[in-house]
Order: sequence, then C-alpha cells, then structure tokens
Amino acid sequence: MKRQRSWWQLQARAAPYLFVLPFVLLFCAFQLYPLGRSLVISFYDTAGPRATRFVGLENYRYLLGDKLFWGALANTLYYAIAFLAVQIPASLGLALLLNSRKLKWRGFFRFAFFSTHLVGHVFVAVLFAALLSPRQGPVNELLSAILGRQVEIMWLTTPSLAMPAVLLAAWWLSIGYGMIYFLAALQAVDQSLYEAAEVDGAGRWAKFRHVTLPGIKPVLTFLIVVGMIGALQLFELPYVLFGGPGPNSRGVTVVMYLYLAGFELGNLGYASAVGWLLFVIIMGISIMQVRMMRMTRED
Amino acid sequence: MRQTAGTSARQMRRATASLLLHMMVLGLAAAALAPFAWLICAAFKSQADLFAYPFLPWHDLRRLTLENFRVLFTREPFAAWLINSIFLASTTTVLVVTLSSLGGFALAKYRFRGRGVLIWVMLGTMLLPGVVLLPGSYLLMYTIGWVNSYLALVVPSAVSVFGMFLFMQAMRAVPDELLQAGRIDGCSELRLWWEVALPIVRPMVGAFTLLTFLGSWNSYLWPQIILQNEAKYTLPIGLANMVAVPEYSSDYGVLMAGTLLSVLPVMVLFFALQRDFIAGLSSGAMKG
Amino acid sequence: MSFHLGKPIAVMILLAVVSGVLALRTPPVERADLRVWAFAGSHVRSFRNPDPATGVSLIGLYQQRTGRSVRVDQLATRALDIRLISLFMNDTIGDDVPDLAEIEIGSVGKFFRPPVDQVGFLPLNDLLERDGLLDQVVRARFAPWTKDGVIFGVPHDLHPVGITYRKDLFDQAGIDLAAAKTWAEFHEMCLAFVRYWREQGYPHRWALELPSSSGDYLTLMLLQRGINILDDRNNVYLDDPRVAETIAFYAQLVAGPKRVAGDATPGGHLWTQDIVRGDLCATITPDWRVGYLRTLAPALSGKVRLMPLPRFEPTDAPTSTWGGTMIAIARRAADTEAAWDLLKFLYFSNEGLRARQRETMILPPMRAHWADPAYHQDDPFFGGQKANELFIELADQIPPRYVTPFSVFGTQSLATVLNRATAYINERGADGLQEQVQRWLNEEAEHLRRRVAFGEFDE
Repeated sequence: MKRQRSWWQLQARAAPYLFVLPFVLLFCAFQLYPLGRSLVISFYDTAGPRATRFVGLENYRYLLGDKLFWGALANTLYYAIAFLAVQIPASLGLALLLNSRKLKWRGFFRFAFFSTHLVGHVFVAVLFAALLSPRQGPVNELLSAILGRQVEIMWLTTPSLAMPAVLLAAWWLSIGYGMIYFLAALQAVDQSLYEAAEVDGAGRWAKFRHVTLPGIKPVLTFLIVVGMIGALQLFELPYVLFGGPGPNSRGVTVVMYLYLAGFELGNLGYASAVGWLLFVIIMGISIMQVRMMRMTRED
Repeated sequence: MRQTAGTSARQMRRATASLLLHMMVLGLAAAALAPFAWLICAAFKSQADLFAYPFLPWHDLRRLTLENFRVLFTREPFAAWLINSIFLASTTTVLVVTLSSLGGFALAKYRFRGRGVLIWVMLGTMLLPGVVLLPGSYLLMYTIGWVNSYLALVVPSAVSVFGMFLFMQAMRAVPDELLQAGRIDGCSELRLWWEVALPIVRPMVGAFTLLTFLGSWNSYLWPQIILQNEAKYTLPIGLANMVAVPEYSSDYGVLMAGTLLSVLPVMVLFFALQRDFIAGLSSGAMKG
Repeated sequence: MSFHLGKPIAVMILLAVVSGVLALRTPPVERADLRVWAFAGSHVRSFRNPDPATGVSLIGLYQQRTGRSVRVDQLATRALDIRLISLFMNDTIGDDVPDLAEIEIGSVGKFFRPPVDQVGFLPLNDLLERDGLLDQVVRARFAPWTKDGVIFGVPHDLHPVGITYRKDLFDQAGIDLAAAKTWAEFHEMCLAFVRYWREQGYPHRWALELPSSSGDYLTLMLLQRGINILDDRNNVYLDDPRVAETIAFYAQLVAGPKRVAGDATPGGHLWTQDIVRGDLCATITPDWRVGYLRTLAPALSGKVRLMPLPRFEPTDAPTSTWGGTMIAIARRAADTEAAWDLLKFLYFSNEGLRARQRETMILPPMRAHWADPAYHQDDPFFGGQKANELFIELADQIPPRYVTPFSVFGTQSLATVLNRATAYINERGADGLQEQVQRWLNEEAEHLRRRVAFGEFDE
C-alpha cells in the first residue's frame, strides 16, 4: 500500500518531465544541434574537410554588399507583399460570400475552394508549367480568346513576369485555405452582436467594421503573421517552376539563394550566414506586424 | 393589394440577389476548379491531343486513353511510391500528434523547471527557415547511419514546434478540477492525458492531424536528399524526377496522370473527413 | 468507427499500420564491392541493362571477369550533389562513399572550391599517363574537369554543337541557310526568312531559337571565340571587348527591329514541339539535343538539316560545346586501383562503348571509337545527311570549356547585361549599344572579381 502510494507520487512528479522528454530529446538532436552547427560555420570559410578557416564576421560583411542577395530579398519581399495583399482580401471576401445563409450547397463550395490547397508545391509547379506554356498553354489561349488576337506571353522566361507567374500559382493554392480560417472565425462571431447593432440602426458597412472585423481579428493576425513568415521562406514553388534562378535571376528568393550558395557554390559557411540574416529579417518583420496589430486594437 | 405587390417585388429582388450570389460563387468555384479539370482531362489524353483540345475532344471521346496510367504503373514503380507516401505521411502524423499533445499537455497544465526556457527556445526556432538546418541535418543522418532510411524521414519530422504550441494553447481549456477529480479516482497522469485532456481538444486533434498529414505528404526537399533508390521514393520525389528525365519531361500526359494520382488520395481523405476538419478550425484553437 | 479521439486520428493509425506492412516488405539493398553513383537514366541503363545479344549486362560482365560485384545507384542530380558535397566536406570513409560518381558539367564547379589537394576526387593525371590513355581522348574535353592543371575526371562525351534547321521552311522562303559562314550573313538570311513568313501571315514564326533573357547561349558563342568567362584559375574575362561585341550582336537577334529569334517553350523538352510546329525554325543542337529531336519529334524526319555554327571571325571555331558529364573516383574510395579498373572498363573498353551506343548515340571523346560504322550512316532524319560525320568533323575543333564554382555567377552576369542591352534596344535602338554594354560589363566584371576574391578558399 505504501509502496504503491510512493510510486503514484513519483509518477505525478515526474510526469511533466517524461511528457516533454521525447520531444525535447528529438528537438535537441534534430533541430538545435544542426542549428548550432550552422551558426558556428557561419563564422568560417568552409571548402572541405581540412579546409576550414575562421573568418569571423567576413561572411556577414560580404553578404551586406552582395547585390545578388539584395536582389533575392527584393524578389522575396515583392512576392510576400503582393501575395498577402491579394490573398487576405480575396480569402475574406470569399468567406463572406460563403457565409451567407442564402447560399445553397455551402459544404460543396467550401470544399471546392479549399481543395486547391491540397496540391503540393511540386505538383503545382508541374501543373502550372503546363498551364503557362507560351504558345499553346490554356492561360494564353484564354487571354487570346478574350483579346481576340493570338498572344505569345512568355510567362516563365520574361524577367518581369517571373514573380507574377509564381504569384498566380501561389494565390490559386492559398486563397481557399485562408477562406477556411475566415469562415471558421465568421461562424464563431456572436450573432446577438449583429442583432444589437441592427437595433442601433447600423448599416452593412458599420456592422462589418464594428462587429465582424473585431470578431475575426485574431484569425486575421494569425493569417498575416504566419502567411508572411511562410512567404519569406518561399522556395520550392519557383525552384521547380523555373528549375533554377529563373529569367535574369528574377525568380530567386532568399531561401533559394541560400540553397544555391550552399550547394551550388559549396560554401556552407556563407549559406548559413544568409540563413541567419534571413532569420533576423523575419523576426524583425514579425515583431513589427504584431506591434501594428496591437496598435490598431487600441483605437 | 399594394402590400402584396410590395412583398412580391421584395421577393423578386431577393430572388435575383440570391441568383446573383449563386452565379458569382459558381463562377469563382469554376475558376478555382478549372486547373483540376484541365489536369484530369490531360491525364486521359494522348500526347498529340494534349494541347490540341483545351479540355476533352468531345466530338470523338474514343481518343481518350489509359495509356498514361499504364506507363506509370508498368515503367515506373508508381504503386510502391504511393504506398511509401501513405506509410510515411501517416506514421509521421501519428508520431507528431502523440508527441505534440503529450508535450503541449505538460506545458499547459504543469509547472516544472525549464518550462519557460523551453517555450522561448521553441518560439525562436519557429522563425527559422528550415533550409538552414539542411547541411547540418544531412551530416547528422550520415553519422548515425540513417541515410536512405525511413527513420531519417520519420523521426526528425516527429518534432513539431507549431504542434506543441497549438496543443499548449488548446489544453489550457482543460479544467484543472477535472484533472484533480481524475487524480482522486486514482488515474495516472498518462491516463489523464489520454482519457481526460485529449477528448476535450478532440476537434483540434482532427484538424491538426489532417494538416500534418498534408504537409508530410507534400514534403520534397528533405526526402529527395535522403532517399536513394527508386523503390523507396515518395510521390513528389518520383514525380519531380520524372520531370527531369527526358523520356517524360515533355510527356505531360504521364506527368499529369501522376499528379492526379498523387493529389487524389489527400482529396478523398479531406473530403471524407471534411466535417472533422472544419470543426477543428472552428474550435478556435488553431489561431495560435 | 468510434474512437474517442475522433475519426481523423483513427484513420491515420489504420493507414500507418496497413501501409507499414506493405512498405516494409521492400527488399534490403544488396552490398557490392564497388559502387557507382549516376544521375542520367540512359547511363544507368547502359550499365545495368542486359545486352540483348548475350543477355549479360555491362556490370554483370565485369563481375564475370574480375569477380568484383558492382552496384549502380541512380540519384537525382540535386540529391547526388548535396550528398557528395556533404561526404567530401566531412572527409568520410566507408560504405556510403561511392567509389565512382558521374557528375554533370553544371554541378562540377562546386566540387572545385577546396584547394586542389583537398578536392574530393582522385587526381587522374598519373593514372591516365601511366596507362597511355591521355592521348586517346580529345584534350579539350578534360578542361571542364580540371582545376589548376589537375585532371579529376574522364569525360563521357564531346557534345559538339551545330545548328539544326527546318530546311523545308527555309527552302520555301528561298534561303540556303547552310551557306551562311559568318554570324552577320546568318543574321541577314534570318531577317529575310522572318520577313518572308510575316508576309505569308505568320507573325510568330521565328528563324532561330534563342533565349532572350538567359546567358546560356551567349556562353556557347563566346566559347566559339575562345572566351571562357572564368578560366580554371578563376581569372575573369567578362570585360574583354569581344564579349561586348558578342552581346551587342546577340541582343539584336532577340530584340528590336532586326529581331529574328524567339524563346523556346520552357519546361521539359517542349522546345522540340516549337520546331515541329515551325514556331522556331532553327536551333543550336549538340548531339544530345539531336537525340531528343529524334525521339520526341519524329515528325521532323527528313525536313531538317544540320550545319556548323557560323563564326564571328575566321579564327573562331565553327562549333562550340554544350553540356557534358564526367566520371570520377572518390579520393577516399576504399580501393582506388579497383575503382580505376572499373572506370576504364565502363568508359574505355569496347564493351562499355558498345553498351552506351545501345542507349544513346552520343559521340564518345575516345578517338578510336569514331571509326565505328554506326557514326557514318546516311541519316534519314536529316534527309540522308551524315549528321554524325559532321559532328566528328567538328569534334577536334571543340574549344576548351572551364568550369569553376563561380561559373554560375559569370552566366548570371551575362544575363544581367543582356537584359539591360535588350531594354536599351527597345528604348533607343542599337546606336551606342556596344559602348554601353562595355561599361556594364566593366561593372559586372568588378563584382565578379570581388565575388571570386571573397569566395575563393585560401589558407
């Protein structure tokens, strides 16, 4: 009896440690360790087993003047901003449409819009490479039909169209996904608030502004912050779509540049430095976004 | 009289508004689904017809062919890729859900030493681009002999910081009184997790399970580095390699058939479990 | 089905169990004395597939003769690169290091970043000389696999370059394209061709396939003139006046009023269909691209001809080189003599070359093999022209091409300047273009030299 009791106490005391233990072990082995290693080598020039040389901040110093890196950052920011600027309003609009109780077959529509998100980046790239084919591709055929003359748009080889092509695929992938979140949030908004607003004589816009928007605010913040972090780490989509840097390197993102520097140039030290600088940038942007969200909450 | 005219006019207006709404949503849905339709049609068309007809050669449906699928299953070990993908994605998911829910439970419901540090370190790594880990991880896999092993794909992926945070957030809703009552009844802590805490966050478990499965199903870069023989490939690797092989790279029919069969399983899964998925998102816990 | 945690997780567990049983039945990988890593399907097939005449594969034959078993692993190019780099970086020895590896010309540069005595591959100069093989191979083809004079790989191919053109369509326009000996003449004929077809109602029929925004084809033209943007010691030649001249010429082929060229359909080998439809009527082809035309565009049979490249100056080569693969031995291979023996069998022996011929018609760089009658047949695809004979004629004039870790950036610099040049033409025409291009090139050369200085490893 007593022994059983002490066992019981022991398991109660040890429980939280045992519960996080598997996670912590794997986390240390497969995330922290490689991470630490990448931080260390970012201070080295690495070229081979015996060819490592401590260079201090040299990698970072060169990085700050590397115009290919800044080009990649510009591409990435362009993508991230354009992506969110369309995805968020489009997702919200779609969610508002689908939330209408007058709409029939809502379950079907919900799945139809969401289903595009199920297609992986690799598959999307394969699909869009075919859709955007310059002379026979369905997208150009459609444009030709609309404009009434044969167009020849080189989506994947014209520098200024590189990111728009990626964006097209990215929007197709993500608008329905964002919609699902908004829809969930819209359904959770307290209906009595709308009734109260109606009693106060609020119009549609006022109801949206003062009831809906505050109600979905957490989801909005979540989608913007997480969407931004994801967009800044864009890699597979342009990489498979262009099979490399894209026309005049206009398809290079920061993460792709990291990959190229590390595995094309064989300079893992420099690649790690790119990774850590990106980390700082992402952190900065995320903090800024959260601050801004807080500020708008106060007004 | 007047009143009935007013109501019928209002009814008319309401009917047109409803029609407009349906037309609009239907149009948008068509736009979203059009690439799928193109994909499905392309999978059944021969190379010659692929771009010749935007969708299907309606005037002569006998031109459609199953040849693309035959090529997939006879010339490539496509069936093996499919099984591998299902195996890896489901195993990873079960592990991730188990570890994250256990860990999240501990973080939410217990005070213990190191908790704060752990949370901060986890938060920091969430902002880190995954590729930074790539070189170091590969060397580690090499050292412990996991190259070309499924262990390298399942075990490191069992760590999900995002999942930990989700469960931590969700488990906060588990009432302490309930846990206390369980303890008085002689439940071990592990049983509390399994029988008390998990059922409360059940909707979230559903949504998180499906999203994890999806992520694992579509993962590309890491498996490509780890796997070395065709029999072990997953669908994205197999398909991406087919793109790189000249025999297929211009044979969009075969590629589209492969893409279709790669997307179909997740489609079926999500469609079948749609209700649980939406319920999970609506439970509010996914907002992090 | 009822499970207290809900359906999704129950389904997941079920799937894991069922598929686990199926997936884990896959047989274990067999061990072998020697291991080869390759990325190209046709190469792997030539090693593995049985000879229809004897029923024995190349590696089977090798095992019969030497008793040493060989395993060939096919890896995706990227995966092969990443894994080799990682293995070399860590100086690992053991089962996971392949004895032999085939590397593509686009990926070899990164392996040459370490000092020459620490490159992961085995230097082959002594072995080649010892066995008298150095002179059997076209010398220029060692260049891509050489760093500071040390040879690290044996070339698989020559990849001489010619132009394949739609003779039927050029004939209709009354133009004999093969008569063009200089690029200027070639351009004039293409202009006439484009004008002719525009009048016939084909506004999108271009004479030549050229990318308007990438530097890859420019590299080919520069090689013709003996210019490598970077040589094997990383000297930069980007600001050579002939580079400016070439870019200014090229830009006018793809932009402005004298445009004659269009971009190929990207993705896979869809460019072959551009030729079939007659959207693009000539294209620069090494032997391997001719191979794709044969298999993917059989409709062109009899309609096309092959011609040497036009030149800028009489001293230029009438050809260039595009693509390539080497085979190399890992420095840390367990038994380098055994690996060298296998390499010779795969790349130099008659059996090896015959197995290769079964899978591709790519011309090997071993001169002795060129006399093979297979390369001297009338070629119905080219309307009876002996296309391979032309490639053989060009083979000895192939310019050396060097690859360094910075070559990728050199090509990017070319692309940057080319894009600025086409924009210049579209805005202001071609006046003063070459001088402007020279100024841009000077800037880019400066950047590239700084990148080399930073990226070159020095102790």
